[in-house]
Amino acid sequence: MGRFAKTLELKGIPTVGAAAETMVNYGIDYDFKYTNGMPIRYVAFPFPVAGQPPEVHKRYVEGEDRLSHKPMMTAIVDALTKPLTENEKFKGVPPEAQPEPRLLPPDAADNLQQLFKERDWTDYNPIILPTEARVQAMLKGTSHAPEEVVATINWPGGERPLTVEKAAIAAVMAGARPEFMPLVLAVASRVPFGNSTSSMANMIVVNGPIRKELGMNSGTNAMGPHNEANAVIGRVFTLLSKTVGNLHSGKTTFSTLGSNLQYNNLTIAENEELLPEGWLPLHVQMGFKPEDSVVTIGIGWTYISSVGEVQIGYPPQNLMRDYMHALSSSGSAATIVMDPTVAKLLKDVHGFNKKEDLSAWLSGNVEKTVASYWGNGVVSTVNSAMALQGLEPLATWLKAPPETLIKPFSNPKGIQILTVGGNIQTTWFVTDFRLGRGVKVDDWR
Amino acid sequence: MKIQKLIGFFLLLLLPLVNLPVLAAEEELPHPEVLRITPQELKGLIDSGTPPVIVDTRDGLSYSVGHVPGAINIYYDPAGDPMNREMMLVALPMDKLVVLYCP
Repeated sequence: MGRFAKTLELKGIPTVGAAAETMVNYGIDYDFKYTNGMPIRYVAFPFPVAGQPPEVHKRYVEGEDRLSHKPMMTAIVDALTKPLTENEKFKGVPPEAQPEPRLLPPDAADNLQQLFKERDWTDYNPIILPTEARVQAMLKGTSHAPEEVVATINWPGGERPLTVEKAAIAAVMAGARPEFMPLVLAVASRVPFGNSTSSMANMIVVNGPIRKELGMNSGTNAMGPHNEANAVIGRVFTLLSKTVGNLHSGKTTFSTLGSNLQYNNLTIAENEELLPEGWLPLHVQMGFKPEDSVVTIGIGWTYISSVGEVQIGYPPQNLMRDYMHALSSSGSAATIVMDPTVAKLLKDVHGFNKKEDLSAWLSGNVEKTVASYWGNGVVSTVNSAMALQGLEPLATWLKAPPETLIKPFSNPKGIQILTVGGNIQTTWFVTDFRLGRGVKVDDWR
Repeated sequence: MKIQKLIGFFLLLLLPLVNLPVLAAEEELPHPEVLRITPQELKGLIDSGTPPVIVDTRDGLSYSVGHVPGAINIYYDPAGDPMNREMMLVALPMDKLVVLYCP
């Protein structure tokens, strides 16, 4: 909002932003200092706005501005007409937004640990302090130059480069070894993590020979805290998101509940060795060669466990279908993570000869009402705009009566299947993670 | 807006999961790895009976002034929060050709 207001102000059009009281400080403080560079006047409404009936919204408009405590319309007129104060005439980059120096002054280790916490540069677990020597050693894990830009992050806080050196610094902090660097850099190219008030998270999936090279765990306890590479790679993603990604709670990220998944970002390696014949690893499904090392990163919110083992009276695909009713189905997205025993059952007993067969079956068999589909705030916010512009099948679903049954996972290609686990029990998770395109790790060696 | 007026736009093809012939650009453009088609080729696709999903990445005001018929608007604001844009992009059909155009 601040940027739009700035655009209008620069055209000489007086502008006032209107935001919920829970978010307005972002606009008048952080957005001004780090992104916009121009003070913008705001008024603030009570919260929540979404989900409230029209009479509540009317009361908000007829009530008082939570910033100035004047009647709302008076506050808006004042904001549009009163002359600028000296502070509001400020232009340029405030001192707070100056970049940090490349090196910090020397200090005792305990003090530096404390400093990193005070700057919110950690996940609040102890870090390995990134001394020059440690970062130099980490950089030996790649042939890429320290100053090479891995990704450019534009928001929040203005454009800044994520360089190989910065990735190496986060790798040191997270406890990585130099041989992790190619995977660290591939992961870094997809930083930062999901930043939404809806409390989203990420999933990091590793395929190919790099899994074995780094000793990643794709077997028993693959999703638990039992493996160095699985733990560290996920942590690097979080530390880079908070430092270079500039995501700080209450300043630039406002996930209302947050997500515990962001400590490790569901970092897993697929158990390619135990895939049933005909079931291809994720990266091969995407068009990479089996011998390529690839990392794939997704965004989502939820995972639901089957809890117990498969029962003979109710096929696993039926229970997956049932549990998928609870997923938002935003973008037809789901990722099913299953033990190899489940994959074998699905192939041998139920005839799913390849992953795509199961995806197609779930796409054709998960149903929910139109009311339930649009009842999800993310789906409604994001998809209704495209539905109103005529994008099918969203346009038809928007016009349908509330109790109309639809197949919300309309695109089977949005449903990914992963085999992970130790062949111990026939259990699985359904998740709403939407996996993006894979990144070739070998390009970062 | 008539399609012939789109000469100045870059038309970008997203072919994530469909197999179509690559249409090479004749002129030197940044990011040559991104497939491009001409406005005439887009018109041909629209007239073919299986039109692609067309995405106008300009701001909402520009879109409202005029856009390719049938295009939906997903604004690419490099300085903006990417999350809404990404959520809209993932809602696009993965089994159809997607054509993007930008200023």
